[in-house]
Amino acid sequence: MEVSTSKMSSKNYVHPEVLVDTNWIAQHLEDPKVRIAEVDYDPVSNYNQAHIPGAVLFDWRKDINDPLRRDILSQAAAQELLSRNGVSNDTTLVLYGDFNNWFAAFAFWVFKYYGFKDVRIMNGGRKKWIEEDKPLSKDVLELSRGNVVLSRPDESVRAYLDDVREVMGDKVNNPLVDVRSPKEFSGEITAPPEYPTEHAQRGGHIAGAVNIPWGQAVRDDGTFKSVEELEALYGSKGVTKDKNVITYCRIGERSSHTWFVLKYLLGYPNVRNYDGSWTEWGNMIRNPIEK
Amino acid sequence: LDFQSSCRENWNLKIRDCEFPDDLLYDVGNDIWLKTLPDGSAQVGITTILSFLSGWFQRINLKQDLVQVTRGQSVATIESARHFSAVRTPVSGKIRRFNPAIQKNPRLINAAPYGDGWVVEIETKDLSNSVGLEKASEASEKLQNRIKELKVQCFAKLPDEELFSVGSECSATLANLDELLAQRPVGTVVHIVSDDPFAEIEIVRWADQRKQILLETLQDENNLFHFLVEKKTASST
Repeated sequence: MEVSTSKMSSKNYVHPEVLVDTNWIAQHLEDPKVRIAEVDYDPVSNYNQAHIPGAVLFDWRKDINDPLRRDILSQAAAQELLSRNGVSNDTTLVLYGDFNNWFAAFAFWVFKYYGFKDVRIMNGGRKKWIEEDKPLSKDVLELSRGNVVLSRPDESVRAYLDDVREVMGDKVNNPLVDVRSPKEFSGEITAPPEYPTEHAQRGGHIAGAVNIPWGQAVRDDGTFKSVEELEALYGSKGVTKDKNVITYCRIGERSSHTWFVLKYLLGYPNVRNYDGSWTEWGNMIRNPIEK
Repeated sequence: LDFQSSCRENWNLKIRDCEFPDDLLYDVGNDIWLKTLPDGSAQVGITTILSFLSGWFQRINLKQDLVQVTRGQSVATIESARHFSAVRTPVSGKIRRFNPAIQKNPRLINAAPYGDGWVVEIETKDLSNSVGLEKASEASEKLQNRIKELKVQCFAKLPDEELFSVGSECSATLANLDELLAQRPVGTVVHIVSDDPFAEIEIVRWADQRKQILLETLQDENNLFHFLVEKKTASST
């Protein structure tokens, strides 16, 4: 038991500063330099019911996506969203959310793309906070406006359709990591059962992709596995630090979670999230697909 | 909103097909019911609202280490593919026992939320002054608001699969349904949502031709059609 306990608390991630635990949050609820945001796919049955006291809501569909074209929110909209929620350039912004932190990870990726300096993830997400029966609140605070100015997008963290086409087939140097479930990878289903509303015209995966489901990176309680376990997991599939890695899933949220693991916990220098993912790839005419 | 008779002794409240036996007390905000046992202690479980909001439960964590609990405290957590929530005790007292049957089979909570799927029994003295606990008839407005807020629709059976087909023709939906049912065992229940105005005619014909059961049909306030289909016949296509 001693051994497994010490392994549980392995902190030798390459960038430990981007991860906080639930106890850290419990101690910083009143900290004016810390803004906590719950990022939900389904705010109706999550944030709106109760949330970490003082936390603001980022509604993934409405707040993190562009309202018109299919894209993440614009830089101006990101600045406005953060400023409106009392965030300034020197704020520590901590994200957590529903669905195993998938959408919190997506928002983390978006804010990193726009160069926000100090954004972190609460390990284990909403689920862990509730599991530990920590305090919850229904109150929505009146916040004084912050002032965020974002820099130019960092394209080194984002992959587009053409980027994927370019590297596809070069498994050795440019692995594509499909983090969906094995059934989605094989094409048996085109959407995960937990939210089956958006499908692609075709099932399967991008030719040459390797399947490492996102959930293999976490323990039962939703917290990340140790560096040693994670290195073994990705290393055994040929996804190593020296490669140019692209992660994808269906709409880019689960792959943000794996992108976070590779980029920050393991410190891979070259890893991009393909947010177009299967709902783009599986809908394009003549895109190469494997089942 | 209507009161319907059932095989229980009491008249049960039904809202959007979510049923609330009138012999139980409800903590509406936490989706919890409480039943007074003959010895005065309390049996606690979840309502059909939470069951249909979550879908089939896959994991449960009963907090076996707890002894004394206070009202509002989490005594268990339950998780489905799409939702995770705490089961909060509506009374203070001492935990007598957890339901051993749900430990092995969390789906029992969905299958019989007001019966064999109970969660915990609590020895309590304050049942008489348990503020906020109400009978279904007293809490009907709160229950109605709760269902509206959470956008829950209950059905005769809890679906195993969801098929959303908004913006596509019903014939395409039925092709997907055939494909899905071919891979699933007899007894599988599928909830289909469609905005096709001819969906009902087509699905009645489909069920007849394929010899499958159309359990339920309804139209919601957004003019979407909901169908509940059960696989009865092994080879669907």
